[in-house]
This record gives sequence, structure tokens and C-alpha cells, in this order.
Amino acid sequence: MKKDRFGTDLTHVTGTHFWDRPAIDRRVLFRHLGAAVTGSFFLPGAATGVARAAETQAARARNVIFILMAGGPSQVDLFDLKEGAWTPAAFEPTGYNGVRWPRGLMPKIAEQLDSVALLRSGRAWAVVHGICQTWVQIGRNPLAGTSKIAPHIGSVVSRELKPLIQDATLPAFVALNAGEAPGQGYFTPEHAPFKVTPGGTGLGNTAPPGYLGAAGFDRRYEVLLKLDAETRAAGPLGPSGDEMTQFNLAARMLMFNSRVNDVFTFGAEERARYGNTAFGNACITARNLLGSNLGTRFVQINVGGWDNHSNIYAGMLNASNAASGGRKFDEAVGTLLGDLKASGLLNETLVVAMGEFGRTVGSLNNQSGRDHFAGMSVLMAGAGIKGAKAIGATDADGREVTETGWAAGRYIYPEDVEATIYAALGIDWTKAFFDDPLGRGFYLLPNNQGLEFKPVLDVWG
Amino acid sequence: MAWMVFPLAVAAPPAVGGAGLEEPPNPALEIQDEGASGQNCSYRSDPQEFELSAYRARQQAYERVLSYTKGGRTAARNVAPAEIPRRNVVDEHIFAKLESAGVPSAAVSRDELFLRRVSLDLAGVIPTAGEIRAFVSDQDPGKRDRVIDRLLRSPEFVDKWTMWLGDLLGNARVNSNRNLQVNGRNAMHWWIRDALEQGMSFRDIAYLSIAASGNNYDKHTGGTNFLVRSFHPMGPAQDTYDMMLVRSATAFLGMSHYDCILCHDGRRHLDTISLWGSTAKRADAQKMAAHFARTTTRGYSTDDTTDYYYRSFNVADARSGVYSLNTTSGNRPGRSAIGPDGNAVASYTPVYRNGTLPAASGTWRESLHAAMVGDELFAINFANRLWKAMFGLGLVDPVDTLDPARLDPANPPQAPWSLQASHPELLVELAKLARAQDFNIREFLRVLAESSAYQLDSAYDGEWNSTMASLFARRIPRRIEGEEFHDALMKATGTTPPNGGYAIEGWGNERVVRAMKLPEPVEPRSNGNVNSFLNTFSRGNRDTVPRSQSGSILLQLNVMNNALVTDRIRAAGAASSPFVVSMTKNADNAQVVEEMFLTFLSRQPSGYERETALAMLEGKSGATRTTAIEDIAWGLVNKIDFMFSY
Repeated sequence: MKKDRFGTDLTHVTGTHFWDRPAIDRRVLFRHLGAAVTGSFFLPGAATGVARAAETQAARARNVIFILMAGGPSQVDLFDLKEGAWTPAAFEPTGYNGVRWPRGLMPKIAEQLDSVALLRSGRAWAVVHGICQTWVQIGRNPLAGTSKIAPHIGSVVSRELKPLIQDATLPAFVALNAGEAPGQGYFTPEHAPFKVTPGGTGLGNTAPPGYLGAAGFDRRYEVLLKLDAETRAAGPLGPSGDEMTQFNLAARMLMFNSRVNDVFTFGAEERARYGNTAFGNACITARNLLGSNLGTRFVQINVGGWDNHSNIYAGMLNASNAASGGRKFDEAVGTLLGDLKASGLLNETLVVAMGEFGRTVGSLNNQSGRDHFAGMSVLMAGAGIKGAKAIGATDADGREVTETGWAAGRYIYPEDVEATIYAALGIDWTKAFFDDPLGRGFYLLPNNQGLEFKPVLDVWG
Repeated sequence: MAWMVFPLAVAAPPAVGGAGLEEPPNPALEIQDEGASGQNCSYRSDPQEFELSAYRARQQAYERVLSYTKGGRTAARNVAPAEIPRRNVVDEHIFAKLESAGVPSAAVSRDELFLRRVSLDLAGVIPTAGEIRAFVSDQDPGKRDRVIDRLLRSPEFVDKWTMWLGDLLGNARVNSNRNLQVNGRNAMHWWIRDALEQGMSFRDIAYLSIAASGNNYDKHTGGTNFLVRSFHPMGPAQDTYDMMLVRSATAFLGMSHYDCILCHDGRRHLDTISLWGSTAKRADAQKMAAHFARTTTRGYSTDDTTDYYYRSFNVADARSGVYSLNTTSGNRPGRSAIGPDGNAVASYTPVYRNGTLPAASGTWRESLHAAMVGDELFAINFANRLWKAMFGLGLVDPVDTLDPARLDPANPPQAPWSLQASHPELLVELAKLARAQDFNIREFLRVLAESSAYQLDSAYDGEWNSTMASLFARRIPRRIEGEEFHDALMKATGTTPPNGGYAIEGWGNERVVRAMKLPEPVEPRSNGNVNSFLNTFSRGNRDTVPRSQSGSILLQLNVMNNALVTDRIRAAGAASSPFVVSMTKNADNAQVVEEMFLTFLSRQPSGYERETALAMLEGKSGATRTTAIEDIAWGLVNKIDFMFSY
């Protein structure tokens, strides 16, 4: 009879996932140096994740690249193009499989539209930057009760895919240019986003100071190991101490590691191909991370500048200016998709690009810009998607949704996008963990007053 | 949880302790080179060789440890609980329970370890070598109490607890609810500092947070930032009243479950989480929130961006207003109610959870405050949160899940529920004590710090499992905060931050030299490298990311390689350490070893450590003496016990 600490009878709950084997020997422990021996000994027991009514899809992808377009990109100018008097000629609106696309603004992505689906019946729950950005990353209302412990979607992916990852040199969840990204919630620290701002000159803080050099560092590290040996092995610090030791060893493994270094090192030519921007550099890094097979499976990249309340076509979405934010976005993402396709990784990688909400439709505001709007669109690419296709449709202006475009027959919310990511990876989106500190069970998708969130499987036809 | 998955942590006590190794890892079985052939290599001839040598290094280190412990190292010493001196109410309960549970206690910590720990826990600082020597040799039996007193009165105490209160009250310039702007954040920060400096009662801190009126940019009404921040965007006013109640109840009553109950009744949601919650009604929670129904936060009206008060808010109270039950949109489910007569109830007026109605005079917020202070939970929350800060684990943990129906040992709940606290009588006694002390933070902390229970060693002989943590049979080590690490590094090395300190927006020419003085954990924005460095210690952002004491790979990479550290352990260079320089000038190796351990780790080296360090100074590692000293300095800062308060 399985009971939790409140005496709730868990016997009706059957089965455990194949990876919850209790016996893992020390050799496997040492192989997974990136994983931590948990120090979180305050949490109650029974960590079996059990599905209510297990729903999975066969995995279509093993990786995710999640691009957060911070600020709220204008859907009627990008992923749900509406042509009106306001549309600059330089946009060169073109049809691809019946899907209208601003080829002049986004020429490189245009070349990859055969792998792209545009979800046009999307909806944000609010139109406030901070809340909504967090919302799309944790897949629930940040001001709700469970959000205090809620992990980032990437942390969920890290936890669920962990048993499938052979070489865990690098964390499964890496966040590039995303310093403000929410963390792993109540999950153990190994699932935290590994936050990096890649510049192309290696992984930060993995090289000792110049005056020391590699040999000097080795000598110094030996000093540390020797001095610390007694405390680490027999000291009073307990599980938290062990965990810290594991992190230290894992960190050491990242240093002088040419494979890790290669992921984060790229030259001027490469940077130029991707547009010579911080975002471009992050895209290169994402490609390298996934190609290197060093354990990373979920890469988040933040790119800002989309909050165009004024001068939208002269600034961010200036199609004639190759240096505008929109053009640079296109250059990086288009090149990324192209490179992933060339290496065969695109089939195994789900690329998601979305903001936290959309922008007002129709004519511009009195500052030649667009303001916040709850209707939004999401771009998905890779993972076997056959494009160009649009899921759902809005009216002539883009104001109302005329076709939802998917089985659920309603708006596509951030939680549905989250479910889609899980489904693509073969993760059961109806699952709950019963090891949360609140003791109420933590469902991957929130319960929201009768709305059942689910993946937008129509993306795959 | 991994502690179940990995048998190490719960298996029979390993001879070698925590890491549980009985044999070193076999390199031949470990190497999993997954196709690095042909890659460019940076430092070694090929990755496989590197990995082999790294494994060999670890193998050697562990072999050394094994040989050392085989030589018969003294194990940690446990003590029968009856033998620990009972100094106050804390000890009465902690050791009585240990005795009745038949669990031995750790020994009381020795002087050095105690001094370092209490200095960090009360004031966020490490002691100097001189202070340690003086303390250890002091024969006064009351010396521990004297040091506690000194720390409580120190300026560093104010810094540390300003940071703690800032976390509790959510002082964040940028946040999901409503930005406080720089001026609001600064005003709240200075208000908290002043309150602590003056020894303001937590009762008054609560008043100035939830019942005061004024502009949030003014220092003396800096507490109003608490309510300014409690705005709930994209919804009706009732959402904001609810948010104000949730944040007040969480901070001052430890009852975060109001957040749940304000959406729905507790039944079918909180049935296994909170006994009180399981029968709590949304209507009652809304009547609590109604105390804020006349609260106004009006934006200060000006378009002049040079006006100091630009974007500030005035918190005040309207003469009328009720909590209307007429919402159909927003952040919470629609609000409506049917009365017993079958007609719709238009609105609620305030009723405190014990039935108290608002006073005839004064504002509703003032009534709420008065009722809260009188509430048992106010004192229990105060005691429990401070207990957690000192002991690492609350008597009720998590600390914001207090369940009013399960806290009174004189009225225990029916099975299968049990009293919530690990030591229910103690918690109630401490709550009474706190109330008698008029919620004086220093005096309450004094009682905790003076107890033998607080002063127990973290070393424990024999089997330890996580369920024993709530018995407090030993000190539970905590990783130190990023701010503490930064300040300890500077203090030990005798160095200062880059550019003479960090500029803070709105602080004029004042430069922050000690990280514990930063107004919030997303600072210093003026120094990106130091900011990232401190962030690897998971300081959180007082909004979507809580402060955490977990480690991470990034933390380790930074402590090993960030210039902030590596520049400051040198005898040469722009940020060189006067302390390290003085060591290089001291020809006496034995003295140098002792001085370095005392300065960085606040203790004498163990026999093993002394031997090892001496050998390094004598040139056994092949480096020059100066380099060896720098290596040791770096090693001590990276050493695992530098990073913990234990």
C-alpha cells in the first residue's frame, strides 16, 4: 500500500516510468558528472511522476530551440501578415503555399518556409511585459499559487529527458542572452538554466587568468583537491556539501575541454554569416550545442527590441535597412534553420519563436507604431513540420480569430505551446510530479477553470 | 528524489563519509569518448588523454583521502542530549525531544567554528584572525553571549537584515506587479535600514507597510512601496485588493494559502495540504481582502520627468468603497455571491478571519493591522521565519504555509492530520516570547543565538538521514549568500571592489563597497561582471525567482576563474592582496599556514591540512614560494567550507 505523508492512498496509481529504477551504481553516478547528488534533503519523499491518463506522442524531436522575442512582436507584420495601406512596399509580401510572408523583411526565413508552421490563432492572457514573458516560459500565471515553485519549461524538458542523455557534460537546459529567465522552480539545481552570453571566444569563466595558463591551473587545482580532500570526503557539510563537490568536478570538466570550447568558439566569418549580432552569436551557439551532443537538449535564446510603440517601419521592421532588428533577426534565424537542415539536425529539433503577446492591428497608432494586443502568432519549425503552413486564421485586419485551425477549436494559449513542445519530445503533458514542496502535486500543465491545455498536433498535419 | 535513487546517501555509513566511496572510480570503465576525433584541441594532445588525466587526478585525491582516514582520524563526537547545557527555552524543547526520540546530539561546536558561524548568520561577515585568536583564548565563560551582543549591535547586522527584510517585503525596482522605479526602491531600502538601525518593532514595520499613507518615494513612508507593489495588473480593482491581502498575509501571517482561497474554496483543492485551508471559504478570504477595498494608490500627476516624484504613487484611503462582487474578468474567477435569502450579495465589507469587524474609527487597513498583530499567527510567523534564518529549516517549513488549525498543541487536529510544527510547544513558546519582546528582531535573534541548540556542531557521528533534520540534532550547514562570499573574499584578502565600489542609481556619489549593502539582488547594475558573479549564487530577483542556496556549475566556474577572485589572491597586479603580500614576506612557513587558515577559513588547519599546506610551501608542488602562497589562497577561497556557514 503506497501512502504519501498525509496518508493518501496511492495504490490506485499504477506503474512507474522505466527510468525510475532505484538502483544506479556509482559508475553511472560518476559518468553523469553534470548531474548533482541532490542536497535538497528538505523535500518529502516519493518522487515518482505518474500520469493521470498518460498521454504521449511518439517523439518527433529530441531538441528544442526556444526563441523568446521579448517585447511582443507585431504579428500582422510578421507571422500573420496583413497587407494594408500601412504595409511598406519593401516588405514584398509573397505567397508561399497560400501563406503570405514579408519576403523583403525576412528573406532568409522565406527560404526555409518549407519547414515552418505559423500558428495564427494564438492569444496571450495579458498584455504586460514582465508577467507575460514569465508566463510563456513557465507555462502558467506567474502570480498564481503554484508559480512560486513552477519550473521553466526547459527545466521540465531537462528533467524528463535526463535518462535519455548519455553524455551530460553540459546541462540539458542552456539559456543564451536570457539572464532574466525563470529558473528550475522546485526542481533540483541540475535542471536550472545554464545562462551564458556567448561572444564566440569560448565559454566564460572556463579559462584561468592569463598569467596562470593551463599548467598553472592544473597545479592550482591539485592544491585545491589536496587541501579539500578531507573536508569533501569526511567533512560536516552533508548532502549540500556533496552536491557542491559534484558541481565543482563538473565545472572542472568544462575547462580545457576542447569539445566544450568548440561549441562556444567561433570566428568572425561565422559571426558575419549570422549577422554579427548578439542574437546571431546565440544562434550559432545553439546550433553548436545541439550538434555537439554534450547533453544539451533545450536551448533558449532571448532577442529583444520588439516593443514597437513608435516608428515601427522606420526602426525595428525596416525592410530596406539590412541592419534593422527585424532584418538581423531574419538573418540569424534563417541561417540557423539552413545550417540545421544541412546537418540533418532540423528534423530532430523543434524551433519555436514567439513573444509574450502581439501588437495592435490595422492602421498604426499616432506614433507610427503598434501597441500591445492579446492576439499573437507563434512560429514553429523543424521536427518534421512540412510547411509553409498556417494553423488558424484571423480576419482581414487581424483583429478576430476566424478559424482556430486545430482540434481544440479555441485560442492557442502559451500553455498549449508548452504542451506542443512536450508532445514533440515524447513527454507526457498530462503528467504530474508528486514531490513538490506544496504537497499538492505539480501538474506540468496548469488546471485553468475547465480549460484543458493540449498540444497543437495539427502542426504536423 | 535523487536521495532515493542514489543509494549512497542512505546506505550504511560509509567509511569515508559523505561521498560514500569505497573504491576510486576505475578510469578504464569511465571513459566515454563520443567521437571527438579530429577536433581542434586547445590545451591537450587529445580529449581522451585529458579526461584520463583528470580522472587520474581525482583518483589520486581520493586515494589520499582513503589513506588518511585509514590512519584513524577522530570521528565526530556525539553527545547524549541530557549532557548539553540548557540555556533557554529553545534548548528545553530541542533536547527534551532528542532525548525522548533516543537520538544523540552533535557536540556543541568549538569556539572557532562558532565564531565564524554566528558572525555570518547574524552579520554576514567572517571574523579576522585576530578576533578568532582573542576569542579562543578568552577565558570568560560568558564570551559567546558577549560576541552575540557585539554582532547584534554592529552596522553589518543592519546590512544583513536589511537584505533579509528587503527579500521578505519584495523591494524590487522592476517586478511583475508594478515597478517601483529607482526612487521607490531606494526609499524603501533606506526606510528598512532606518527601521533596523532604530530597532523598530516588527509590529511597526508591518504597520508602515500595510497601514501607512504617503508617497512611496519618501523615505519615511518608504514602507508604502509594499502596497504600491501589490497592484495586480490587467484586472479589476478587486484583483489588487486580493493581491494586497495575499502579500500581507504571506509576509506577516505566513499564510500564503490565501492566494489559493481567493480563487476558490479550499475544499477539493487544499484537502491534503492545509486543514484550515480544506474548509476555508472564498467568501471569507474576500472579506479579509475587503480591508483594502478603500485603499487607493494614485499615480502622482506630473509629466515633468525631472520632478523627483515622477511616476511615484500616493497611498491613501477613500472615504467609501466596498469589495464589490461583480467581476466577470481579470486574473481571478468571476466574483458573485448569493445570500441566504436567495438574492445576490452586492458586496462585502471587511471581516477579519476571527470575526473581528473594523474599528469604529481609523481606516480599514489600520483595523486589519491591529487584528493581524493580535493574531497568533503574527507572532508564530515572526518566530518561525527568524528561526529558519538561523537554523536553516523552519519549525514549520516552507515558512509561508502556516496552517492555523494545526499549530496549537493544546488543540491538536484529528487524525490523519498532525500538528504542523516539528516542535509545536516550542513554536508557541517562542511566539509568546516574541510578543513579550514586542517583536524586537535583535532580541529574538539573541535568544536563538544564545541557545546550545544553535551552537551545535555540524559534524555528526554515525548515520544521518534527512528526516532527522527537523530534530535539529546538529547544525544544518547552509551555503553562504553571494553577498557574504563577496564580502568575505574582500575582507580576507584585504582588497576592495573594482573602481572603489559600485555606483547605485539614485545614491549620488556613494559607492557600495560591501555587497551586503546593495539595495536589491539585481544590483550592481553598474558592474556587469560582478553582477553575473553574484547571480551565480542564485540571489533571485525578489519577483519571479526566489533566493536559493543551491550550488551550480556556473557558481563553481566563477569562483574558480572569475577575475574578481583570481585578481584578489595575488601578490602582484592591480587588485593584489595586501594579506597575500604580507604572507610572502613571512619566512616562517608554519606561521603562514596558520595565518592563512585563520584568515580565510576562520579556523586552525587540521593535522592533515597543515601537513599538506606545509609541503606545498616547502616546494613540493614545484612552484615558487610566492606562487605556492597564491595557490593556497586560491585553494582556500575555493575550498568547500569557505562557501558554507556550518
